[in-house]
Amino acid sequence: MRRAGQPGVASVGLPFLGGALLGVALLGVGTPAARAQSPAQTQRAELEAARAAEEAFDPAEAMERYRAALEIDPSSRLARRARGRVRYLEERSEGGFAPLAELMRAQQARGDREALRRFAEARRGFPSGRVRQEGAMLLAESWSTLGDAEEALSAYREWLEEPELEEQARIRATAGLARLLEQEDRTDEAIAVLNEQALGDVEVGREIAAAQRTRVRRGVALGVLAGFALLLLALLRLRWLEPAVLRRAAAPRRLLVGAYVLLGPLAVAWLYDPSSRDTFGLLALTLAPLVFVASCAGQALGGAPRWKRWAVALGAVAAHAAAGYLVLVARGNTLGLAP
Amino acid sequence: MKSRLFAFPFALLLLYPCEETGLVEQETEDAGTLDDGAVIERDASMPELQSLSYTPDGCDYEVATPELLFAERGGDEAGSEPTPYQVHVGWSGPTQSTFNVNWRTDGEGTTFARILYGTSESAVAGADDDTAEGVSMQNGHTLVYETATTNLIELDGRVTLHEVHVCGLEPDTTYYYKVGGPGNWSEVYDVATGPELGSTAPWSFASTGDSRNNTENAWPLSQRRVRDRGVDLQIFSGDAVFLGTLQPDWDQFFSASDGDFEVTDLLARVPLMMSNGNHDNLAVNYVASFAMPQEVSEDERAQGEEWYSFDYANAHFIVLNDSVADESVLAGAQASWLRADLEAVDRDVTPWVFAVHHRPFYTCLSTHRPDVGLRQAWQPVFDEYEVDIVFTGHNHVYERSQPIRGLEGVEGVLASAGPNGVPAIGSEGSGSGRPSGTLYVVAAGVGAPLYAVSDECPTTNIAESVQNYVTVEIEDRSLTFTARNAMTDAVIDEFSYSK
Repeated sequence: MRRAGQPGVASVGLPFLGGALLGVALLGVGTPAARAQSPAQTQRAELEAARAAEEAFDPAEAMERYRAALEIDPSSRLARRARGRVRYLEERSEGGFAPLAELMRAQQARGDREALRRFAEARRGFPSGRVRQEGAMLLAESWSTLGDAEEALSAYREWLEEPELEEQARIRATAGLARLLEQEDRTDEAIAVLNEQALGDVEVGREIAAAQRTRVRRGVALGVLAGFALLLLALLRLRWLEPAVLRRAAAPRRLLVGAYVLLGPLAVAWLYDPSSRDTFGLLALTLAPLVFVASCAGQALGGAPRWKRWAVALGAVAAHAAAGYLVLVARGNTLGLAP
Repeated sequence: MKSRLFAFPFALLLLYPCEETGLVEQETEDAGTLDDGAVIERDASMPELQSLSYTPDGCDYEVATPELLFAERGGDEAGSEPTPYQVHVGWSGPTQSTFNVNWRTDGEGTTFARILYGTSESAVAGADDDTAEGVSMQNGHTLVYETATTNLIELDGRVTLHEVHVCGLEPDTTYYYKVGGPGNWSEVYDVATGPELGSTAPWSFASTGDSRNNTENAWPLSQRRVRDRGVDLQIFSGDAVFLGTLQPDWDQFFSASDGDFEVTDLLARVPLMMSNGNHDNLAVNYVASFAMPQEVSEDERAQGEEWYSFDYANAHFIVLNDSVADESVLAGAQASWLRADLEAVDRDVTPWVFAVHHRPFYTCLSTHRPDVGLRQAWQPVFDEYEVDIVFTGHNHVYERSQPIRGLEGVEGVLASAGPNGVPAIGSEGSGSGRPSGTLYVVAAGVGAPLYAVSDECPTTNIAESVQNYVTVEIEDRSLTFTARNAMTDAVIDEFSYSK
């Protein structure tokens, strides 16, 4: 192999015929890299050979080719690529590159479940090192991406049980496991995992806590709506649906006020915050029946005792807030309200 | 009467447009824009802001700073904590003959803004000035800006940055450099100039975006992966940080680490070309931290760094800003600039054209909907000049569109596709070597929380909700594109085509 600084085949100063004969000889026996005509071309050929070796899952050969490329001219722009790959390969050379070859195959598997299972089996026999660790992460994330929750959960647990697990990997494994458990509605287990690893304060922990708060608030909101419905039934039965009551509630002045209450915020959003238009539109649609029901109830309670009117009024306010909250959560837009 | 009182607040809001109420217009000096459009106000008793513009020695372009607390050419003061850190490189001039470096120092009073550079690592390492053989020196400038460090309503911190430009270099050459000043140099880094324009030699670039929040430390891990791929440059589609005006967010961006790897290991060696995202919001922290091409065009802010273009080898890159204060700029001044810029491209020299901006206009059922207004403003220009690939972010997912060419109303028209959804390449007459459509890629999420996404839209070829990065390898008229999971390095998407 020609070294950096050595002259290329075309400039060795041999007579033309000798040079041509040497060229023919090299064409016959040399590698594609050796047949190249200049250091830059030779380096490119070595890089191409290295890349081909990586694509053929042969990291040992790739390493050799990258090192050869580096030797030709370590200061060239292309040498930087060789240097990067050499570093990558060196850091993953445990077990004589056999584990890395398996990892490279698995990285190209792209949803091939059988390939992932084969890799999981092989990985258990890998010596400790970066490939073993990265392999564990690859399996957990791949199963998770494929939507195979049970395989993913088991892969995350296996990853967490790895001896010599680096701190950052421990955080990633814990976060991944907790997030997956949360997605599977196994919130208590997710919280237990975070607590077990003393990682309640990582982002996923905060997300799970927020999701739990949202679930509680959603439950309260649904309860308030159900409570308002029960209150109306208890105090009025179906009197608020009587035609005379409906007519009074649907009087133009009341409809105008109702439309104003619902469409006013939508108009403001339309003017000042286009990103909130959909949210306020949905709010108007959702609250419209509630406003109408509250208006009917108000009419039906015309001669009722004051406490009844107060109970319905307060119930209507609470139901409004509850319905509004549910709309905001459904839209993923809490208008600044901390989740 | 009661209902009239009730009407009063809404009526007020509806009657007075926002601009007239002063909610947007500020009479105080703006010291930095917040993400919600509000501004931090400077106390009138604070020192006058200043700016600087000059032509670096040997360069044929001008450098201008924003208005800041302090902006002067590099001096001789070591200051209290002069050790350079957060070193990163970029390009403001031709990629084959220039590079620039930015770095930070702590404490007060450091005005050193020098670089020692040369092609011999040992010569640069041993030098303290440019008297050493094979070592050259350039002097840049120092700037100080005020920033929020703890909350968004108070400018409670100052940041000292330094910037230097090196020009007149040989193409396709590795240079070693260190920055700082006598007795206080950074470690020695290496950076390579690009090949001659039009070169058919192989080269590669990476594309990332949305590192904000650095969830599960994905940002430094992605940068480690990019380093290991040995790319020549990196483009970034915006949202480097969560709050552009909050300095700790930027410190995390520039100083994050993954085990023994620090992002500086990459950023000090491989030029990073930034696009502004809605979270970066052209904050002074963003504008001051990066040095990008500065040709100021109509309605352009940030001293010309809001949108720009550059060439590398046989490719032309366009970097656009879709997070603008005035949306009319998108279809107006910026679209005009885009058209003029693409009109001037010689496709025989740079047959490849890539665009970068933040908000996608082809994306499927994710958190942010496709930006149809942007599509109408820019796609006709991308179509007319046959842009090859458009890189975006904003939705923290990986997505690749089908080849698209033309609009029917506001909907993109699918172009003919080759294997694996690559553009079909024309083979006759003037169509020779011309791709049938542009590919729109959302490659975002190297730290930002992931969003859901779908591949069910007709314009979508592939979509996955994963932290990801992309590498593109070019050799002459052949392109190989690979998207990988940033956490596991597993391949998500891969295609090649030649034209």
